[in-house]
Amino acid sequence: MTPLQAVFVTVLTALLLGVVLFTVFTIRAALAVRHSAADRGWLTRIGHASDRDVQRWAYVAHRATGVAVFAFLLLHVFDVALFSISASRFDEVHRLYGTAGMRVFESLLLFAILFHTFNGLRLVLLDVAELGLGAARRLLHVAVVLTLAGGTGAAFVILKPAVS
Amino acid sequence: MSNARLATFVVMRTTAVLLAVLVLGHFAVTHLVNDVAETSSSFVLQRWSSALWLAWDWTMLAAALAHAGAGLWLIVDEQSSGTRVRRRLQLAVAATVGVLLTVGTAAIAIAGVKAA
Repeated sequence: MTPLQAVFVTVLTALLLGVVLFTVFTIRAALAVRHSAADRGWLTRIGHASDRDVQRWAYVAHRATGVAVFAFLLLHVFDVALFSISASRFDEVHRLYGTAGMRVFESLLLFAILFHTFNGLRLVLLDVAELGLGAARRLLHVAVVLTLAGGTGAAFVILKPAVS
Repeated sequence: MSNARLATFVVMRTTAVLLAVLVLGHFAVTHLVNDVAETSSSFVLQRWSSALWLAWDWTMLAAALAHAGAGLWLIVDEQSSGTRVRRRLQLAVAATVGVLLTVGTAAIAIAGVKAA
């Protein structure tokens, strides 16, 4: 691994760590609200998630995926900017994108982008048209199904060159 | 709702719809239509010789940074405790977005001038 590639991998690892920390922070903040509102223990709550709970977890996932995608953009702007400095420097870093490890990362990134996109469009739709809580929940199901289906299909395409 | 929060919400939603098309299109071109290993400097050189792709990429960059800046501003506004911490974090968000916009715009502009 060249020094420049090592910088890329190190910064990406640090950013991913930051994303994990932010996610834990956001989940804890959501749990704090949830616990204060619920009198029963967590055992009785399993399988009885209220609409409010489901919407809150969608909100947590939206924030976490948004921060995750931005974290990658933070690095991606710089690795693409290398192109305008030197094409060979760009290629040096870009070669990492084709490695098996990065392909796994790219697939996970796509899941985050897809959830953020579909859930985001759901939120825009709910703002524009007053559809009610039932429709909000059904649209969330649609967003999750589209994310899993689209993400899984694309992950096959992205990971295939690494496997074969 | 304060004016700042209202403006943030409007920016968030307009850029959201734009990014749904631009980002998914960008990802599809660089990972599905072409394999990522093939999107080397010669691929970028060819793509950035087209004004359409330069415009696509810069619009995507600007929209993504406006969207992320607004989102992070909301997160800081809601989740940070204390006025001083909030001020500093919002300054950090603005500085980060500013640096990324400058670096990204410069990169695309240089590539455009070189290709012309």
